Amino acid sequence: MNGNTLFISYVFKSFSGYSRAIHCNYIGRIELNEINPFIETIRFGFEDNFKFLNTNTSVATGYCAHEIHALVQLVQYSGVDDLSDVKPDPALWKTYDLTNQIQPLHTPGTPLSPAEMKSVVFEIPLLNYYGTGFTAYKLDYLNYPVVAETDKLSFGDEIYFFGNVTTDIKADVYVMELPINLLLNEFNSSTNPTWDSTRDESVAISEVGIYADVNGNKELVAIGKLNDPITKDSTISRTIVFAIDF
Amino acid sequence: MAFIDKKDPVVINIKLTSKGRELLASGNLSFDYYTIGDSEIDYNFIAETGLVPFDSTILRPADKNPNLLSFIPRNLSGDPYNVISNAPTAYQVINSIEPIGFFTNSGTTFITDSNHVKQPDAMVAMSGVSGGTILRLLKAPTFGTSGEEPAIGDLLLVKWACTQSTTGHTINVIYPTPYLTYKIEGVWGSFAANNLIVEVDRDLPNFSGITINSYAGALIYYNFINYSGSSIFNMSSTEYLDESVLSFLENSQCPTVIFPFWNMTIIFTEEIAGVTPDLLKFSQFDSRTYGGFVSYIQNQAPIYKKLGVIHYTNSSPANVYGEGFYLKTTVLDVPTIMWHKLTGSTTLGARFVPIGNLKMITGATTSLNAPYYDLADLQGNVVGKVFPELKIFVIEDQELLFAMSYKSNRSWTLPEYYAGTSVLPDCPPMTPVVMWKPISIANPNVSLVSREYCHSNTGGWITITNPSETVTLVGVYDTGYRVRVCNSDISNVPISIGTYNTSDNTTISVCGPATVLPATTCGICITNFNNIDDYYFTGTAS
Repeated sequence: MNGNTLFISYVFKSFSGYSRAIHCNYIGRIELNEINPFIETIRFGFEDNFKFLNTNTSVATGYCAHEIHALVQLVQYSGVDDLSDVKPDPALWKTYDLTNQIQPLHTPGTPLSPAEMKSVVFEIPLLNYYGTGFTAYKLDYLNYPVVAETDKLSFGDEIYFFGNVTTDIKADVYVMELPINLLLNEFNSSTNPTWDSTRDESVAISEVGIYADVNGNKELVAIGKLNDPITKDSTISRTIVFAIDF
Repeated sequence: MAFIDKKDPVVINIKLTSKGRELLASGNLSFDYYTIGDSEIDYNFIAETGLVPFDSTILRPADKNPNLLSFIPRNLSGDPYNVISNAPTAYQVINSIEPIGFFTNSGTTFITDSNHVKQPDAMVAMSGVSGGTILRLLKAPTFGTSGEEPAIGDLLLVKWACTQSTTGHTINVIYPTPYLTYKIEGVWGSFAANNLIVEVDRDLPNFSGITINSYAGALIYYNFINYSGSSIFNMSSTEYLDESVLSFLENSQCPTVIFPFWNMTIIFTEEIAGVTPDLLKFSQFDSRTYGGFVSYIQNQAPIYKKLGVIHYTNSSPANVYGEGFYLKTTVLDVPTIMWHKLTGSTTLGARFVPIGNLKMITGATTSLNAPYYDLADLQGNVVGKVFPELKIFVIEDQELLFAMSYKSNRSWTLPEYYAGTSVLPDCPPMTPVVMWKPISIANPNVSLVSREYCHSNTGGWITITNPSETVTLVGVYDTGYRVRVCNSDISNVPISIGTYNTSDNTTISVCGPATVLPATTCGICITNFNNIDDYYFTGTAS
């Protein structure tokens, strides 16, 4: 597959007030004339969403910018199996100044307004893509570190989430629940050597043992103890619930 | 060894024995039998002293608990071992927890304790800010809570506002201003000597030429979470338990504090536009170690090459978020960004919540079995995903991502655009609000037959059934309006329709007047109309 793709976005420039910030990172792509992409003119426009763009550098709110530039990269490809394989080269982006297309004419050096952003359908003629008007784009305006400056602040160095998280939480609890029913005529005697069937009318339950059958042997794997032993005789029926959460 | 505290009501203190844990580890733990015992009861002593068994004090169950000495069998001559046949049951526990993060009062106030911020009380005199990377830091009026001085590598958050003072710790949401984070690369002087100057990683604003007497509030944060001291800053940076916890060597010192904020990692698996060969590569970023996550969370078929992950990574074994977020109760507040998709007023901050139904990322052959909700702002604009069971947020909106990134030099998002090679309407540059208003008929002998509208997406004319109804639409182009009236008068009747600016009712275009002859029906029509600003259709017949 052969063809031409234009990748596009835009970037503001500032000359005073807030220093220049990174380009818009909604990167779009336009498939161009397969034979000659340079006959194409790109049309480019905005919705009215620059609500924080402020025309007055000295006011307190929002941000300001003085120029708008298209950010474009023409990729001419051949022998590609899938269009998703056509990607821009980070080093080959170009800017194209759109500011002088604003209607009515924008006064150079003054802040842009939201109304100016939607005043016109900007046009980017690709005829001069490799000539006048298209300038190489580089992130050096962000004091972006060079290869050797690995200790400098770069992208991906964030640590904190400067925000809040609020939520309800959940947990699934799996319970091995063992209700032990002590009926009137059951569990009324003890193997405790101090228990005397002729003297003691009741037994005192202090513990519950849980066993696993390991190769025929009964291994004590869990034990439960009552903080207050409870008595049991033939006139009392009780239920002990032994539960382990997982 | 200790004894059980006497409590009311009766409770059972349960312990898995060492043998039980051994069998659990080998996958052989089962609960097959139970016994009831009275090993710690001395019936002779009870008989002699009159002690009530209920008052006996019992040892706590131990890891290596001795076997039961004596049993209470089901009957006098019976086997003390009783068969267990119960199957495990499950239920869900739901709890609310306090918001965790850097803000309080619903996200309108910075938390200033030492667990969150190193020095919360710095400020910048904006009249002295003229670009460059050198910045004079002053003591804010609230200075004193912390005496900490900045160090190289610390992060400096400045609440820029030009003519508006932003000192103090309150976020004034009705004044949306840039909240920018810098890395401190040089320090000279100190707060104590009142001569502190820092160098930051990139150019500062240039307010020269502007008469301002205001101060920008500034806060200094540790650049990495390894503060040595008694604060929580020495408890990072893994989600796994301390080795001491796992090894049981220091289980008396297991830290179980609730870590007071979340982490954010913005992961790049492709280069950013504008990075030339001489500049730092994404493969050198600190977040490169998370690269595999970008593919994993997109089911190994990544669409987004850059993702922001908001995660609760720390070394405290406190299970703060249980097994996950409960349904759609999760709220993510970002109080310091200017979010362009916010509707209505231009306030600072944005809130993101789960929307829709639980979804699953599916692939051709495999599926990441981790349900998620779409994460969206309060207007329903999806910006990413929240994985309730993984307890993480993934930010996919590329603009939001970069507005949250320190190095972008902006805390505001930039809007989308339309672009193409063809002329309108394939490339609508604007989204005006379009209204179709009723036609005004002055002559009582003239009656409305029909009102219809159309636009780019209708595929034909749509009848407005209620003659007095106004139809309002956004995001349409190539609009049209046509009206038919019946003239029962004996004279000709003029009819015209037109388009008008909504803001000031000025005329944009008029079609007509057309003449409706007596005892006839006549129509008038406008089609393929476009306008940058909001407009409406209406008309008159007299």
